[in-house]
Amino acid sequence: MFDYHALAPELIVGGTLMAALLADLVLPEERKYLVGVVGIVGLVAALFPLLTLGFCEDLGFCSGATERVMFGGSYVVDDFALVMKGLFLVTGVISILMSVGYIESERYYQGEFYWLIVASVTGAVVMASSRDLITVFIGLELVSGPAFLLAGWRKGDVRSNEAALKFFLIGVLSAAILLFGMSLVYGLTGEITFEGIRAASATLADEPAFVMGVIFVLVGFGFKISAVPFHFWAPDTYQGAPTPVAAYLSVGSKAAGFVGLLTVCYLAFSEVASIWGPALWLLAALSMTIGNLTALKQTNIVRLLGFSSVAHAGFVLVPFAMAASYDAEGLQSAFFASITYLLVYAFMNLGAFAVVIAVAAKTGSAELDDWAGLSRYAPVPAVLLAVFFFSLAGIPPLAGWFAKLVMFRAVLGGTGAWGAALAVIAAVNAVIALAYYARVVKTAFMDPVPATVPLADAGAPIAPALVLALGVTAAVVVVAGFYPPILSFFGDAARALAFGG
Amino acid sequence: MIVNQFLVLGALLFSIGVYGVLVRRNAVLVLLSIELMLAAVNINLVAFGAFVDDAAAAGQVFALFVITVAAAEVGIGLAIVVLIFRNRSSANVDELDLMKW
Amino acid sequence: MTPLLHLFALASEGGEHGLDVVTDPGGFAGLLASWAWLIPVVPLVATFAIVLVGKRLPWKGWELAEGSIAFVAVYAVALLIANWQAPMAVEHHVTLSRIDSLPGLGDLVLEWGWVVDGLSIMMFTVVGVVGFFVFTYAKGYMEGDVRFTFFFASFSLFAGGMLVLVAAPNLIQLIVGWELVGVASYLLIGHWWEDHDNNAAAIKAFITNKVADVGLFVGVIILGITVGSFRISDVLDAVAHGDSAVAQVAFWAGLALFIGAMGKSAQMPFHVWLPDAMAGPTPVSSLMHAATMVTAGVYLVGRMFPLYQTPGMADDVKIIIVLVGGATLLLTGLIALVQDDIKKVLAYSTLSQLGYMTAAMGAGAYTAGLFHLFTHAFFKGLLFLAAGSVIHGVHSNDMSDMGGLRRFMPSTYRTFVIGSLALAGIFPLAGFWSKDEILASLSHDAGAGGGAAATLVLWLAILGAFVTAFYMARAVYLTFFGEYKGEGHPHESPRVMTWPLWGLAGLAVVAGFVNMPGLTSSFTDWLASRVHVMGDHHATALNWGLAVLGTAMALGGIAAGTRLFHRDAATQQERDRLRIPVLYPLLEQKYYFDHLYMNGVVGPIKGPIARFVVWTNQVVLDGVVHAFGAAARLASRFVYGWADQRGIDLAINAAAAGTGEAGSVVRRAQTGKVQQYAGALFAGAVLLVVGFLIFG
Repeated sequence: MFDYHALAPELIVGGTLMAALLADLVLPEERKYLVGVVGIVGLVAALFPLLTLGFCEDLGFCSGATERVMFGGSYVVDDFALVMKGLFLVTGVISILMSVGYIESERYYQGEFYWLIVASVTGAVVMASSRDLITVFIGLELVSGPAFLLAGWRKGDVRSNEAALKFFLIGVLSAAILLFGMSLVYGLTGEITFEGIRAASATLADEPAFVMGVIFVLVGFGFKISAVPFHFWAPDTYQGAPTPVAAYLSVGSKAAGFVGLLTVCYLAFSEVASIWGPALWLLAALSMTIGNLTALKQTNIVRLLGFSSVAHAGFVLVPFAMAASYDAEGLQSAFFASITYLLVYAFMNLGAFAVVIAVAAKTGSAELDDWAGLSRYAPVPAVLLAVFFFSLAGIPPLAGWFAKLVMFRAVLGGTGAWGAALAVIAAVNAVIALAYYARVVKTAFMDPVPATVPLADAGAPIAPALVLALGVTAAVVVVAGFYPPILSFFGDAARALAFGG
Repeated sequence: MIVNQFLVLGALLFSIGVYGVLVRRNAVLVLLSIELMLAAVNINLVAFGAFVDDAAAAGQVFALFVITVAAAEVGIGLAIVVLIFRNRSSANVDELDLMKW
Repeated sequence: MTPLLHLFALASEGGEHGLDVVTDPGGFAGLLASWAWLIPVVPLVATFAIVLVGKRLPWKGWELAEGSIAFVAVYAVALLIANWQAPMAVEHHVTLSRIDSLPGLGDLVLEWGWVVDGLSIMMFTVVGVVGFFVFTYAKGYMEGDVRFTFFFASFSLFAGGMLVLVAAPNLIQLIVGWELVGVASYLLIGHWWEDHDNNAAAIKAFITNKVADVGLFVGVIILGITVGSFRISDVLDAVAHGDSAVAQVAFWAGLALFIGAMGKSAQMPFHVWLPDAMAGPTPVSSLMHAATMVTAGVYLVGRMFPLYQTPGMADDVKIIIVLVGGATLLLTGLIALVQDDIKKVLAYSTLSQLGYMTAAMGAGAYTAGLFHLFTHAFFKGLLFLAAGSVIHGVHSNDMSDMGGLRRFMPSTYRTFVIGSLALAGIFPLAGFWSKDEILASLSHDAGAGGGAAATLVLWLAILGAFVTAFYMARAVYLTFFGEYKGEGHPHESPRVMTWPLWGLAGLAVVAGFVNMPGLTSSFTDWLASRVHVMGDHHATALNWGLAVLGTAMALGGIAAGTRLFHRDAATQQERDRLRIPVLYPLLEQKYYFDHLYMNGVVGPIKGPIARFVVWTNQVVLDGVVHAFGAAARLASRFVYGWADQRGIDLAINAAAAGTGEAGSVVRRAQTGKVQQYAGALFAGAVLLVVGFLIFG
């Protein structure tokens, strides 16, 4: 029994994939950017059924339960899934916008490039609704597979090769570990759906094999969100991959990992929070600290953003690392905080990468030293750089501060010394992070312009699609800073998932 | 039905796979080691599937999906390895450290 | 409610506008209070206007800045008069947005508002009036600067941010203002960013403040979550009612807030940024030291005063406050003695005076602490402007390049002396009244439960009076007496710079008269007109004994300074003269000061105390900022070569130097070898499992 309304986003994205392939086939080389347009149109079109689903009752399309359960509980479209699908689609759109000018200048395989991004987004969209082990695994691999190829897109560039290989090997290894964990979980509970696992797992918390299963599953997702110590691939891959791909990896792919982690932890393993709670506590603390400390010493901006995204993964983990000690209300607030942080992070990090692309086109490099004095010859990108980086640092009134605020509120809402300790670690890290974000901004605004840059064509206008991406992300970051409800509304809606658990 | 023997086999195979991933230098062998790990997973799944004996045969279905996905991944992996071999005339993974620190 | 805000409120979700009138003055005064939101808004609007159109205006945007600050000054004085006639305490709240029913946390309401009561009016007045003079002066000082327009935009932002902070009726808005001030100070200190040191100073200030800000954030979050509201009045209500949940967290919240205050108000050990902040243009120093920025911390303690004063709440923090204040006031005063840079003398002097204010707050002397803030604003603003005038005339900060300037710069000389006397606390200038009130309060506190700490700090404060007079006398003699030792021909500054000097000099003379014990108590009354005034705020009578003692110490300091530095002030000879034990007959402490001076400047082996003070200042305390992380590595670096800071990009690494070491170590893990990554991944998984099975 298919609920076509509920599946409409997936169907539209799937149709888009077909259309993009077809377009790639018939379009002449100089028109290949139209494949990207097809992708954008399709992804945007897929947003509409999300809206009609989300406001189903308000629009009078349907009545009764807003949660649509399909395929024997394996596929569920609820408010959480809708919000995350929306995030993935928007991320996909912005990533394509960022790519258009960039890939066009590289002059090869444009069509396939956009197709792969849409394919990866499809996987993420599926993941948001997955409620059993098989579906979530397929979704995860559909996110990763195209991303491996995208990371190695510049075939002649050994760095890009290396980025792809590292990403691929670590990705497949972690997938194997994830699968091994899943097989143990399946074997001990006899269930494949999250609901069934939850019902069967209450007595298994002390069973060593089950502990191993749960933790191996966490590791699999830990790779995706690049939490320490599963993060090593991330900075190398971001640096070597084409920058728009790095942006997509650091936001879309990472958010997909969080979706998997959140659904698995809250729905399948909610009875055994005593296992994953402490594990995530450790991952959160390590990710923030190691990510930030290493970022301090980076000289390449993309690499710096790579470590920064590791640290941000830690910040997102902070609220629900304390889940084991929360009551039902605390769990919801932790969930709300993680989702809201993720939403805010998505926009500011995409924006930061978009700025990097725009600036690197002028300086010819993403090395920090070459960015000195950027504000002299490229004032607008320099200001946007400051906006996004300060937002990442959490300085009011940019959106990042609100993310940090809800994060601290959630963790301080818990009880006990562990929550306080994690809050202190997070606070110290927030200060450390400021140092390297501020350093980039300081270099761009205050240091003298080096002789080798800007490039002769530094005055060339920024690609229109990139301008659009910058505009959208900057607008969201600034507006959400002054008026957080535009993002926290969605975080609030997504909280429905935690009610169910 | 006794499931332990299968699990021990699975665990052994998985460990051999991990060893191979960590130690072999040639990228193709690393890929093969990962395949070993996935094979271990399949043994687990099928054994558990038979042991649990659920109506939907989820274990077996899962194993089929794993095989399919593994094939796709190897396709991607070999493509990347070929690229690297073309550019560097070597497929040794421990020589790839252009980006570090 | 004003039409503009009405629209704003309607536009925002769940827009509602709350008026919390506690003492409604009614009539014109009430109207003034309800329009007081203009006070922070006008300078902020001016900032934007200057950025947008400043360069096209005849005075390059200065007129907008000056106009906005003049508006603030006039409005604040009008409020002051209204408050004088009928005390008022009015709060307005506008809901900007609300997020309903966050689970377990209730509603998060973001509000904007303004509070008009004695305390905020006093701060408005200080910022407005001192700001007005400084802005005027800055037009002359900054004439011809390449970023003249940008400077005034930042300057307006600086004042506007401070006004946002002062007007804040809730803690979130207070943080916004707090951060605006921080950002503006960063822009201003680094105004001449071509010079690397200025950059370093700017970032040092910013980072030091950021570190302390963590305290503020933690305190605000604790209070907000415990009370369920970020409104200051709600928090203080809970405190006044002895709410037990608040009582539980009060100590930590109070301590955390005070740490935030220590950062902005540059109390030890967070004081390190302030002397370096001299790198900014002199008008910036003047505004920063007198009215904005450093007063924010003292203001915060004053605003949250009931929290510290109510028994069972954060009253245990008071002893920390008083000791921090006491240590700061004396130790930094001593450092001022050995500085050769005229602005640094004044900077350390500010630190010392902030120590007085903090100590007073810690002793429960709400009025005395804020009164000193008030008077200090005028004479310290004056001293900086006068110093700036000197620097403008001789193109050097170093007092060894000056001397004999009283002949060339009569206005500057006279006003500087007035400011110095006021600072030294000579009757009947402003500093006399406020410093005496602090001494009296400390003495009162020592007798009323403050215990040994208050007694100790009282003696430190009395000693501080001597030191204050001593270093100011030294600065006056080295700068204005003796022979001119610099290059070129010094000249008096233009009129636009001298008349603000005279204006502030006038205020430095009369500002103390508003609170003469036994005669007038206007200032006490102003400050008392707020919703929550707690405890005993010491409207003490003149303590004759302390007044005489304090004055005697000040005169002693001047005498010592005169003896040492009058007439011939050629630097080398002056130092030689110090070897002669001139001070011995005068003061028991001669040995102590003599060697302090010698060691501070010349740095030989003797004089452990001076060395300790200087060493602590430059090594340990800087280190606190630098030293998250690899403490051991840093300690060895400090011992072997603290002066060797060539290799370190201080500008960047203020916070990073310590963490940077750790970062260097940590990044080694990123070997680039994919198999090691895989190993780490697998090891992580196994360790988690094993760890859980063993410890779980």
